[in-house]
Amino acid sequence: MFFHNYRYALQSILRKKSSLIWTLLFPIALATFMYLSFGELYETEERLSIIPVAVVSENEGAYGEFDAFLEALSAEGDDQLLYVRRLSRDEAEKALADETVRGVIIEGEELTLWLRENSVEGTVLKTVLEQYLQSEAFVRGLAASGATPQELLAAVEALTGGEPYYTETSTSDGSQDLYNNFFYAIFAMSCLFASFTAVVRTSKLQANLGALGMRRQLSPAGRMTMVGAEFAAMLTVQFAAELLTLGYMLLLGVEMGERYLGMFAVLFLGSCVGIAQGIIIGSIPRLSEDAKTGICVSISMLLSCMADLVAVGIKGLIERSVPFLNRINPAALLTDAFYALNCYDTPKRFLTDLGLLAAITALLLGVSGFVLRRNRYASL
Amino acid sequence: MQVFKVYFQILRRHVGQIFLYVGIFAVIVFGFILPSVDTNPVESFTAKKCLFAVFDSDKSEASRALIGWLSEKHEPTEIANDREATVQDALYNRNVYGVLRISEGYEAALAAGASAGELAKRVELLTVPGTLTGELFATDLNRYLTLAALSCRSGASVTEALAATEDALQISLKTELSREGAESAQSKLYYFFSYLSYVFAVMSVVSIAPVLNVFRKPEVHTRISCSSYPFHRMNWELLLGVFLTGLFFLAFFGGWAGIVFGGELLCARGALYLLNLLLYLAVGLALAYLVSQLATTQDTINMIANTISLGMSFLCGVFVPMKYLGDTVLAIAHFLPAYWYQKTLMLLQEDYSGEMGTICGNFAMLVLFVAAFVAAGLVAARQKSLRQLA
Repeated sequence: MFFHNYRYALQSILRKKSSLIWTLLFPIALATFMYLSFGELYETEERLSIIPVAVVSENEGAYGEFDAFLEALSAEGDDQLLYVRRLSRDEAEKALADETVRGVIIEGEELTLWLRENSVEGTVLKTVLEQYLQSEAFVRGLAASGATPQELLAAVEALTGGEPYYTETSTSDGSQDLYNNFFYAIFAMSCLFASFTAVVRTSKLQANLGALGMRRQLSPAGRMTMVGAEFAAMLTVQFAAELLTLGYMLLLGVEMGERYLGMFAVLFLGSCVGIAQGIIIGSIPRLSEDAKTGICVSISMLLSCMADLVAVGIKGLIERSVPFLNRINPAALLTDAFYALNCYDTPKRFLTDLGLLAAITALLLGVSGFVLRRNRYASL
Repeated sequence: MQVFKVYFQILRRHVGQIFLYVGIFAVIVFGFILPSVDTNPVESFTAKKCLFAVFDSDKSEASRALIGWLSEKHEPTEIANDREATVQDALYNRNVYGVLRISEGYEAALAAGASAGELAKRVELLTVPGTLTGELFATDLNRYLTLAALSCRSGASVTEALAATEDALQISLKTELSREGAESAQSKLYYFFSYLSYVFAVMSVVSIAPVLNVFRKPEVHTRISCSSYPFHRMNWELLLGVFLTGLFFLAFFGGWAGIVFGGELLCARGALYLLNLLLYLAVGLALAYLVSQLATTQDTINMIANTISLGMSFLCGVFVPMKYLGDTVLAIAHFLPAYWYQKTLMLLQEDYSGEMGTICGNFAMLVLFVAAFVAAGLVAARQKSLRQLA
């Protein structure tokens, strides 16, 4: 009986072309827009890359050592920091205005840096160039204090790019792109939007909401068998849609990591929780289908926005102020599971998120089952 | 006015969703965006600062001096602990850009003239390698440590070395901003109106399209058609309902802006902000009409509304400033109404007196979008009725 119901439920869902197309199109379209908008923002705005600068020499011969320093910084290789072009003042001004260079170094009466805007890149440039001036002053100070030539040589060596005096540690090998949160939130939203279909399907099981519901209440099949078959059919379609979206995002180049099995697990449980949310809302007696869909939209949007759908940082703020909300918000758990999968080496946090998602699904389905089993109709 | 009354009765069912989007707007704009808006004009160069946290186990004069110097150059903050997971979360969420661990024995190593490798065992920087902010903080840290270590190695005491280091680090490079770099003060009004474009688009569609949809249901439409109610009257009453809903949105958000920004709105610039919003509202209403012709169920309407509103917000510079968007994205954005709305808002931030022609052109583009959406809606309606007749 279960498979009989499952087969027909699946056929029925697949024949609702408009809903099916939008279930597929909605996350794919959003992912495309997001990727176009900031898919490469992390690489272009946050990652350190070679900084193009122009040098204007107005005091020939006065900056020989500084020029050597610039040459060292612009030497091709892994450590190359600058790409230096020697230009006239007018050409440099134009290049800065056109943004073909990010800064202009004027070797005039004194060393001056022109920048186009207040930016982190500009500050890095200033800091690196300042380092030269400070090192030069420091060595002069050492010489004045009577340091031996060997000591001065050692100091110059240490100051011109020797070993670092600190240990740099990275906390993760995964992608640290904060904008990935938007893509994780798309999955959260599309999983929760599975509740729309679940509301419609559950309403069709209720005798007070339509002729089909009356007919199904008369059938000898158990209600839980029918609900289970509906759930499985919806899950099949939703999970397939999520997998297609995941494949599309990976093709786009979103850095989701390579733990595909973990991703499948998140999407599977995400689909489950979205459908369970729809079933529990759909099982509310004496509410029209439209009203139930309205509730679904409100809850799904609210939970998704709380999981960084429209602004990165909301989830973090909640985590700092009311962390409990993030533990019961399925959208936040979904995005957190993706993040944990991408950035953590140990599976503890990921498994905790999955466990909580499974618990929420079980709770929602348990309550829905309880409500649906108890439905009795005195008259219809 | 039966249709008009019924329109609002149905609309009342969607009030919850309207409030939801008003709430989302309030939280984003007043909780996140406006508090971070810098209202001071940018006239000269200001070095960017990185948020950083320190866990100092040495608690010595040398470690305090290092922290003090870094705090002058950057912005110290606190995180709960220095466990790897906590640090990773803080780095990922950009609550900090670097976390410094100074181990016991740092000062002793410095005093003993330790080599770079030995000192590095006592100073650990947790950061996101390869990022601009990570590099900036690391460069500052390294130049301090290098100078301090070299001073100590040259025979100076720790106190003398720290003083010499700070003296050397006082030297700075003369830095100027080019003329193009100077920016006017950012206007909070701009961000308020910018985010309204997202809310207006989604609210108009999710609240109005389902109501229009009800009147398009074949059984309802047929019943009204065979009643004594003239067809054109039904359309006019629906149009009036849609128009009044839009006016309510405009009055609500315009009033809200008036309360929050007061005098800023009571000038020619404020009037242009409101006119821009009015035209964008017309776009939202036209879009609602078009969507009501294309989608038949509420869930589909919601998916379309969110795809369009979020999509336009991402592509047209609402969620991500336009200066960060690539040329291709901006080329695509030209075909979306939110782009022209945003362009006007950007012009209104500056001295717009010489840009009135451009602003009027942007307004005209919005009017054209209204016409295009209504025309597309009429075509869709016509196609649908022909299909029904067939």
